[in-house]
Amino acid sequence: MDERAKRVGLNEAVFREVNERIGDLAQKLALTEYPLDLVCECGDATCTQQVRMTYAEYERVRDDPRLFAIYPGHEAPDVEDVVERQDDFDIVRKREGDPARLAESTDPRS
Amino acid sequence: MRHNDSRGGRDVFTRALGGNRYGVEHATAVRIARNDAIFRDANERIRDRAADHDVTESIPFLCECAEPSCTTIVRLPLAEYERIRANPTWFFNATGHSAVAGPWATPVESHPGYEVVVKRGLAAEVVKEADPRSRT
Repeated sequence: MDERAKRVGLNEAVFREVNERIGDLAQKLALTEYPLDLVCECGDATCTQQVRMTYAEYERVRDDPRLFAIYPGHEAPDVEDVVERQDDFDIVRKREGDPARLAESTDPRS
Repeated sequence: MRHNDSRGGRDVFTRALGGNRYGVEHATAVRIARNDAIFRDANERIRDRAADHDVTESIPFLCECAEPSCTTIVRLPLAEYERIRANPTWFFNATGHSAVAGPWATPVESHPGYEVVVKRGLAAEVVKEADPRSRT
């Protein structure tokens, strides 16, 4: 796996961890009926965009370790494909091979 | 939600409220401290994940203010996060968020985008006791 692809994958894994904590807090504090303001899970470590989605939408994304929620247009076409576009966010799926393997190996739910 | 005390027995929040040591009039301080500790625990996990993946600059942490629904992101280098975390009564809040804690927290440092606050009184005692780094 080339270094850039690896860096993108690891950055996304950190953003996913942040969102897992936000989702966990929403559960603990009984706030799952409200929209979640999550961080964009793109591969740019300096990205400061946030994405808003329901708790149910977030859980749907998290069910598949290869899926990430990003701010519209923040995809990295060399390692992932946009599989869904919503008003406030896009969902990308990691490509087969190294990108998918890295996403799966860093998934905190697996 | 209960924060379990790793040393056994009732959790630190229940003991602070139910031990007749402080009285129920301090429930607000305990609630605030409880929220602070929950956010600190979440940030400790983010810290661990970032360190695992060699992300040491501009790590996106959760604002540790007393508002439970706050999801403001505060970006800190790992070294700055560690400096704050070294003191169990210190927390970081997005700029302007420290007022939520009322008299139970005082800003001690101001930086671009965030403030460092120190917990006071019962809130300080509760967060100290709940500090995961102080547990043995």
